[in-house]
This record gives sequence, structure tokens and C-alpha cells, in this order.
Amino acid sequence: MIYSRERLHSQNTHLSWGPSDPLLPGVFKLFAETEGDLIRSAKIETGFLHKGLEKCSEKRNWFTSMVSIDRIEPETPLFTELAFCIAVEEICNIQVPRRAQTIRLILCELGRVGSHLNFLSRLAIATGFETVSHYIFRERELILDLFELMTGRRFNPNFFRFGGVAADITEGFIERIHETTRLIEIRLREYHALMIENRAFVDRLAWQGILSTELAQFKGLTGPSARASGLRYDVRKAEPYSGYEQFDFRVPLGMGSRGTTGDGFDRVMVRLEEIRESLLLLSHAVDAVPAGDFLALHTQFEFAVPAGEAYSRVESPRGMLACHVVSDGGFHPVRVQWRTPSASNIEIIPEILRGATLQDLPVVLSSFNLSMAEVDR
Amino acid sequence: MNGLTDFTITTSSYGWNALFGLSEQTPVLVILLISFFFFFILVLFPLYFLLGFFERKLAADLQARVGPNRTHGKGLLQVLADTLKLENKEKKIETTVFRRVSPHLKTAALYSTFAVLPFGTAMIFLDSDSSVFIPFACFGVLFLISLFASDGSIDLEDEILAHRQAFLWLSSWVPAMISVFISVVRVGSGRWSTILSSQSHGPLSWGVFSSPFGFLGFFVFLFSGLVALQLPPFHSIDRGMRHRAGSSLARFNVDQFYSLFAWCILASALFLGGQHTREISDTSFMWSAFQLVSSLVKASLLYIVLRVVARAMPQLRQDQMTEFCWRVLTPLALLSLIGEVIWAQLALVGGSS
Repeated sequence: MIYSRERLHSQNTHLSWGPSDPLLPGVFKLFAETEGDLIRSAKIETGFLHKGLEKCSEKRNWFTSMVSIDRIEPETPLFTELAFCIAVEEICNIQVPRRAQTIRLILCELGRVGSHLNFLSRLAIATGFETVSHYIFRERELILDLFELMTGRRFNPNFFRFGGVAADITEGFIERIHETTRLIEIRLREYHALMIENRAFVDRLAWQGILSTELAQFKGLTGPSARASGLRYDVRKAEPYSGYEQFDFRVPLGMGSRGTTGDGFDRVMVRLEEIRESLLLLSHAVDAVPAGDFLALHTQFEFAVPAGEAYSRVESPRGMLACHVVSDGGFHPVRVQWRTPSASNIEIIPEILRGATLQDLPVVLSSFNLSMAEVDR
Repeated sequence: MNGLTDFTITTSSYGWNALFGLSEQTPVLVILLISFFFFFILVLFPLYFLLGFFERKLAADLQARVGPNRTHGKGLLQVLADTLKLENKEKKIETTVFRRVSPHLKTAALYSTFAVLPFGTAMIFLDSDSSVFIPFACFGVLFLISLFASDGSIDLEDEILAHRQAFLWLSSWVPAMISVFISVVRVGSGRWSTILSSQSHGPLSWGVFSSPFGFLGFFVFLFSGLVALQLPPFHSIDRGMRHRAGSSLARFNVDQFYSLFAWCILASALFLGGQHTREISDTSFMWSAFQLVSSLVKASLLYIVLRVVARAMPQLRQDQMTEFCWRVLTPLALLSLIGEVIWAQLALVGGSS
């Protein structure tokens, strides 16, 4: 931490953290002007994790660019794969088989559960609740085991293809999903007892980092953080894709059950409810996998996409993830551009931190579940 | 030389004499120095490594993970390995003289509490009418050093933190001292040897069970200690280890262990029976060793329970901690003190009739 010694005895002091600081949920710089314990204003500086992945995917051919796309958000790679595939399929006018769509949906919902569990674990660490954090990681391992069983990899699966998926459902995968969803449902009740019914934990989050619906809408926030503020928008409902329209599921909204609508506690509750909804969705989806092909077209390295452009949207665990793909008819994408949820959600941080105390900083930042890999790309 | 070592201290340190085979004419200061080195080399450090291992293993079991298992003895030497690693890391050079000196002052103030810790009725170096309050005075000095050390700090966050802690210390001290008064009221004296002698081997005679308010006082004392010593879950959020590394972190860990362990010895002496001899003239090597071991075992068990339970709780914000002290601990302490006074009066009336 650096500060200006001259300002030590003035009323306001200037503090800065980062780019690498355990207080922060990722690699960025945070500047704050404080008055005692209160943050009067805050500013963020990003770009420390820039990997040039958009450019990398443009340098590769259509088939291998998926390797770069997987790494845009390493925690939930299937969502970026899906958004890219949907855009390319739209340009090529490829009809994805129903079976492939359901497999995609199952894997994405598993990814959503895993990501939300990761969020809860990180938040537990931010609140000093080390024990719960370990418990949650235990369940997240089960999700990674399922990914390994289905795709062969725990991270960066590179599994979605233009027109479907790389392989059909592995033997025993459906049974394992049923087992895992049942187990996680039981464990969610334990987490509820440990976290939500714990007054010390609730007091750390309720009335902290309050985000109004208007501000969330004005800043373009999406995902659970926006829904916790009462903004009813979910891409899966608004513009259904990959067969989501065939399933009935609820979109949880912030209720202000302990503090007020849009506070840190609501952001936790919305994600907990989303895990429950995803588990229900998963158990319905695995029972309704239609028969048929899992891939409409076998793409090769010399695969060319007709000239055109497309913009696809998917609901990632952090919010709306959009991909803009431009093709000139060649073997490489001309432009692959991403609208990642964390990049827009991070814009809210200076507003939210105004009036917060220094001690609430890690918890408030963690409650937004930002991914700096997504922001900087 | 005799003038330096022969000053009068009201003491009950015969047990230490018997333990080291020293005559009763040996100056108290000499016994104090010998016991100090004996305690730190043969008791404190082995306990630090051993209890550190047990705490981590139990906590790992609680958290559904394996815990330390890499060093010799199935991970038994993990804490020693960690300490040696930290000692070998690059030293941080402090820029101001006071910040260079203050860690040593803090250490001296902290370890000076050894002289006033009650290990048994015959193992107390300072046993005056108000000796029960002296360890808390030592912890107070420690706090003042921490507070002044932050002035002239190069780190503003540390300075803000120190000022926050000032109020927190006060908030936790009030209930802690009230709960000490509960023991004083119970026995009618602030002398360690009297408090220890009032309790026997049977748990029903212990301070914690002696009256309906003893347990409440014990609970308040333990939690006030955790807040006062800034131990989990009452450690400051930004106190972390961000500004400590290498040998200073290793020393911080040992200091933290000693602080809680000393608090557990005090809690054990005040509420869990402590240790007492039947007759001071009976004091022998075996009896002194038994007193010491028994006192250490009680404190160790209390230490393990506190550390493991603390792992299962979320961290509180500083304002929540002060609120907890003023709104929960202090009223509880006052309630138990008033209750203890009434109980003692009723016992007196009952006894006289």
C-alpha cells in the first residue's frame, strides 16, 4: 500500500491497493480517498491481466481459436465456447441437433453451479469463514469430476463444436449427475444453516454495498448482481438459446430479506437460489435428453465460415456474455469481440464503495463476483 | 550484588525451588531467571510446535481436509518447519528507530507476564494482595507500546488500525476485569494463592461451577481475552499478515501463541481449579512437577478448544466486536458479578445461621 505522507494530517487520506493485494478479489488497482474509516471516493485501474485473447483467436483458424476462447474466463470456459459457437452457427446457418443442445445446456448449468459455489467459497474466505470455504470447495470438486467424466478435462475443456459437441454423453454420466445434484441439495441446506442463519455472517453482508435497480440499469449491470437489485433480466428467459425455452425454471430476484434490496446479502441469496434452480433444471434436463446426433457437422482445420457477422448472447454465471464475430469468408475470424459481464459490472465498484468502510472493502468487492480474467481478456 | 537480588518480593515460588533443587535461600530473581529459560526452552516452544500441530490437524479434520502430513512424524514437525522457513526469509528493514525497537519492547512486555502467571499455589513469583490484576497490567503495557509504535508509522493503514484497536482494547478490558472481580468476590481476596487454594481437585469446587454465575464469568473472560488479544475470530480484518513476513511473522506467531496460552493459564487458575498444594511445607520435586504439568495440561486443552472452535466462526468487523463487548460481554459480566455478590452474601448468611 502506498500513501502520501503529506496528507497524513489532512482530513482526507489517499490510499491505494494492488495490482496484487490479498484485499482485492483480482488483479487491479484500487485508489480510495478516505476520511478516517469511510471511503469518500474510489477509482479503479484495470488492464494488468491483459492477455490479448481476442487478437489470439483472430490469428488462429476457426477450429483452433476455441483454445484462446476457453481462456477468456478460465473458471467458466463453456460459456465463452457456447457464445462463440452460437455466433458462428448463425453465420453458417447450422442447425444444432436437439441432443447436442441439451448436452450443452447440462454442461453450462453444471458450470453455473460450480461458479456459484466458487463465489460462495471466495466470499466465505473474505468474511473469514475458512471452514465453510473448505466445505464448498469439496462440492465444487464433484462438479469438476463431472466435467472430467464428460469432456476428459477439469479445466479448459474445449468441448463445444460448431454444430454440436465433441462427444456424446459418457456412460454413467447421467447417474453421476443425479447423485451429485442430490448431494449438493443436501449440502446447500448445510451451507444455509452455517452461513445464512449465522448472525455474524449476515451482519457482514446485510446493508453493505447497496446497489439500486436504477443504478444497476444505468450502468448496464447484468447477472445475479443485477437481479439481486431487482432487475429482472436473464438471457435464458429474454432470448432463449440452446433449448432453455423447453424447460421451466425460476429467475430469483433480491428480496431484501435481511437488509435491503440490492445489498451484499441479497447477492448471496440470489446465487444460492440460482444454484437450487440450476440443480432442478439439471435433473429435468438429464431425464429429457433426446435421441439423435450430437454433432451436425464435422469441422476440420480447413473450415471456412461464409462472409458475415453475428452477435450472440448467453447467460453466464456472472451475467450477460456476448460475442461479436465477423468473418470475411476465410479460414480465420476477422474480428472476435467480447462483452463480458465482469467488464461492465466492475464499473459499479467506485459508486458502491462511496460511503463504505475500509473494513467492508473485501466483502463488498467479493459480493460482486468479479473476474479480472474476463475484464482484461 | 546481593543488594540487587535480595529485594523483598511477596512470593510463593517454593515450588520452583523444589523443581530445580534449589535451596530456599536462593534469591527470587535467580529462580525467576532459571524458570524463565526453563519455561521458554523446555515448555513453551515444544508446546508451540505440538499444540500448533494438533490444532491444525483437528481444524483440518473439521474442515474436511488432510492437514499437515509432510514433515517427520506424520506432520508433527510442520510448525517447526514453518518457523525455520520464515526465519530464513529475507529480513524487512524498518525505517524508523521506534519501529525497529518497538517489536523488542512488545516482546519484553509480553513475556514479562511470565513472572506473574500462576502455575500453582507454590509457583507464583508475585503474590501480593492484588497480584491477580498484575498480568492484565502487563497486557496493558503491551497495548500502549503497540499504540505508540504506530505513531510515526510509515504505514497509514497501520496507524488507522491502531487507533481503532485502542477502543477495542478498552471494550474488551472492561468485561475481562469484571470477570476477574467475580473470582475476587468469590474468595474475598485478590491474591493468587488464595484464589488457587479456594479450589480443589473436584470440579465442583472450581470457580466455573462454584456458583450459578461462575460459568457466565468464565465465558466472558475467555471471549474478552480473544478480543483483547485480537485472536480469531476477533482478529482485525486488515491486521492479516500483509505487512509481516519472514522472522517478524515467525515471532508474531510465537507471540500470539504465548498470549493465548497465558490467557488460558489465567482462565484455568481463575475458573478451572488451577493447582494447589495441600501444605506449602510438603512441596517436593514431584509435587511441583505435578502442579506445573497439571496447569499446562488444563491450559493446553483450553487452548485447543478455543482455536478449533474459532475456526468454525466467521470474522467480525471491528465495530461488531466493540458492539459485542459493550452490548453482550459487559452486561453479562456485570450480571454475573452482581449475581456472585448476592450468592456470596447468601452463602455467608447461610453459613452463620
